[in-house]
Amino acid sequence: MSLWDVNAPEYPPELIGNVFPTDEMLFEYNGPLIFTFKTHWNGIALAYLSDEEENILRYVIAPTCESIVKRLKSGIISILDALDQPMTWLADITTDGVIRRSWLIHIKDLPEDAIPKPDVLLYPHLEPLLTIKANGRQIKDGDMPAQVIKQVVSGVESAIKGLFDYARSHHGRSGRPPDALRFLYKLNTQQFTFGSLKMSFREPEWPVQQEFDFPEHEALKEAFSKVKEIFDKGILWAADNKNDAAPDFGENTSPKDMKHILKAVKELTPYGDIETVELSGTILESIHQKHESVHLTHESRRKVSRILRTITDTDDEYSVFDKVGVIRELDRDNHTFSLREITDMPEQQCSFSAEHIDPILEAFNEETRVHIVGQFSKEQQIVEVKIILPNTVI
Amino acid sequence: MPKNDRQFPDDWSPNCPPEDAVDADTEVFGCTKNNPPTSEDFKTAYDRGYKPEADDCQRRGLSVSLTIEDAQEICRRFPRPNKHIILTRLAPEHGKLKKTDGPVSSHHTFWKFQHLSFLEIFLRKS
Repeated sequence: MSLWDVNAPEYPPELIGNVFPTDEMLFEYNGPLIFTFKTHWNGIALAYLSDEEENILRYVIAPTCESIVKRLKSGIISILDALDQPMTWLADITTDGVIRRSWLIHIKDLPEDAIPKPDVLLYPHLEPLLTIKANGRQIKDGDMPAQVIKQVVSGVESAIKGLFDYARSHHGRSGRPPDALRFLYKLNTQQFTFGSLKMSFREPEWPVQQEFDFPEHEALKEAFSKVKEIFDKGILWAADNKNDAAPDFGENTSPKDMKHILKAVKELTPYGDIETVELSGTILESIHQKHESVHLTHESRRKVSRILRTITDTDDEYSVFDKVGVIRELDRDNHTFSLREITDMPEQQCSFSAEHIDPILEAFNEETRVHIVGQFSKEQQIVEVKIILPNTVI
Repeated sequence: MPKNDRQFPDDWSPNCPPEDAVDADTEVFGCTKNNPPTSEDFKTAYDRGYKPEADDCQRRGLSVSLTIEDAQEICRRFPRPNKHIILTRLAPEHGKLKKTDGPVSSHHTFWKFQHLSFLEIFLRKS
């Protein structure tokens, strides 16, 4: 296959400069595929190998700067984002680095396969844990309801926290995590696009064993990997509007396991102003391998809620908790607190989802009494908060 | 195949391939522009004349991936020059292999024996 015919104004090669030697090599695979070089005007430019034929290498070249390169290397922007600059060139270069011909081009005019797709990052390991794109009539560029952003962030935080908690409980640990594991609960936003509200979250960085003397660490990583597999199945099941039956997560999945996973799935399903969400990322392995995304709708949420109501966890007994107390020892990372100064008991551990964090923080900071209604798990001895009200309402 | 066929070109340094490269004995994935591939699809950095200032031995080897997922990641990033993925089973009579730093986690460098071409290695039927 030969090089494509370029239909663009030619540009004097000497005004770009010498491509080799490279300034910084960013992607090398049988030669330099993405790199920076010093330009004729004493700046730097980014070169991307778009095509090749015998001894001609065709690069897309864009002026760049250190901050763009840094953002590219850390996965904040994609390869295409870095190349899509107000002025961009195409250059046919011989392997000795001499630019034979060059053209002034617009990225949008290039053949579809001459550049990577918009979401492709510099390295595979930079791929986000989860990308969520929220859609709805109210979600407009420049006029985004703040509640929508809060809803997306809270949903993702709660879903991921639920999965980590489940992974911990799966290898015999539950309750409050040790300080060494708190990194798991700190999700960092990798990319944020306002146009249609698209957010990407990085996987928490697992410290290497040598730097981090914690024997539980590798086992937890393995447990989380298994949890991801079931979560992937759960999301695909929720997205399948033709399948009304309960999900099949395999024989070894207990009702309790199913409940954990479906709760995490539910956290990502849309409601209110968000009509659909589009999910992708390494956490959804089967979808990620195909470089696809999956769509959840209000119907997905109804379906998950309906199945959750039918699951009976025979290993645990639940009762209604309805008491007034003062919030002490709030753990924001783990989403737990101790409720104290309760009338008929000394203390109760409670867990809460991200949607309740504002009233809980307010009550904690102001040391006011609050009314907590929730579900008490006899096995875990913890209350899952469903409603929090100022005591004055009672 | 006679044992003395297992030689690397005379103009390579005596330490090339490196001592810790092992007999090639695994499936590997390469990326090609053409289907069926041509000799143009298997050029090393040395063949292309890239980076004469870099490690000469490394330039003589061909980058390959041990997993199809990693090969797909290369194709995703450079869809036009890496349109197709090709699989072959390397055997000790083909050359030496070493895990080397690269943009994908299963990146390896493969050094072939002098009397063979990459094209015939990749096109042979396993």
